[in-house]
Amino acid sequence: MNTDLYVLLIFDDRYLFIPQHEVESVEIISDVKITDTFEGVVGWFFGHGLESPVYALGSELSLLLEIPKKREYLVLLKAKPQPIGILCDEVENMNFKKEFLHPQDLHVVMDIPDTPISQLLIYQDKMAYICSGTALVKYFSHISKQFSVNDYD
Amino acid sequence: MTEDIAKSSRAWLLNFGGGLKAAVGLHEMSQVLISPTLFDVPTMPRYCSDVVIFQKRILPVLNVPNMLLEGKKVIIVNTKVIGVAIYQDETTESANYGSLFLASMPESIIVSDEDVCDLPEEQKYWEPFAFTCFSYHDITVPIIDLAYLFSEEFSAVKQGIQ
Repeated sequence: MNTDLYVLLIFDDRYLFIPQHEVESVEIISDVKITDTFEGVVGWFFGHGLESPVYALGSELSLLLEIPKKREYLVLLKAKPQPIGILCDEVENMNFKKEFLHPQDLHVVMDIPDTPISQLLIYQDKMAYICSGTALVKYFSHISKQFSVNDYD
Repeated sequence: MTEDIAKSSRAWLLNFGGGLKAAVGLHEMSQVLISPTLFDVPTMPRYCSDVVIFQKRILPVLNVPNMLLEGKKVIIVNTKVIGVAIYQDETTESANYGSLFLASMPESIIVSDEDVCDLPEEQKYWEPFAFTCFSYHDITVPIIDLAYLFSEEFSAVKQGIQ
C-alpha cells in the first residue's frame, strides 16, 4: 500500500485529501439517483451491488440540503455495510511524494473529537485538509444524526 | 545589615481584546505578525478556527476572549495583529509554537515582586493557567502559562473530555 497516494476532492473552494486506499471508486453525478433529503442524504448510488448514501458537503463541512450546480463527481468511500458517497466539483489523484507535499499534524489544541480533519497542508496557496476515510464515515454518522434531530426542532 | 530588594523582570503585556489582558515572559513572544494571511479550518471550535503560516509551520491562532468568555459574543476590534508564542513542552522539553489574536501590539513592561496581588473573583477564568498576578496601572494582570494554554490537557478540559 502506497501511503503517499491521495484523492483530492474540491468543493466550494475547499481542498480535501483522502488516502487513496480508502476510496472505493470515483463516479459521475449523473449516476446518482437524487432523492428528497433525509438525514442529510441527498441521493443514492446503486453500484458495486450495493445502495450507497450520497452526501453533499458545504464549505464548513456541514451537510447541504440541496446539491450545488457545480457538483460533478461522486467519490465513494470504503465503508461497512455499504460505501458512502461525497459529491465534489473536481477530483484528482495526488502523489504527495512526487509533488513534494508535506502535511502537518493538527496542533493539539485543534485535535478535537468532533473533527474528521487529522492534518493540514498548504496546497496551491490554499489550506487543504487531510481526513481519513474512516474519520469521514464516523463524521457523517455523527452529523447526519444531528441533522435529523434539527429537522424535527 | 541586609536590605530587601524587590526583584523585577521584563514581560510582554498582551491585550487580547474584550477587556482581557495578560502578561508573558519576554522570551515567550517570538514575533508579531501584522496582517498575515489567515486560513480558516472548518469543524473547529470558534476559539481556534484559524491558522497562520509561520516559518513553514501551520500554527493555530487562539482567540482568547472566545475561549475564556464562553457564551459571550466578543468582537475583537483589531484582528490584524498576531502574536507568535514560543513555549516549552513539559514532557518532551522541545520548543513549540502557537499564536494568539491580539487587539494591539504587545507592550514591553517591567514587573516587580512589589506589584504581586491576588487574582480578583471576576477574573477567575484565568485561574487554570495563571502563575501569579500583579497590579499594573490600576488593573490586575495575570502572568499566564502558555504551555498549558496550548496543551492537550487544557484542550481536553475545553472539550469536556476530562
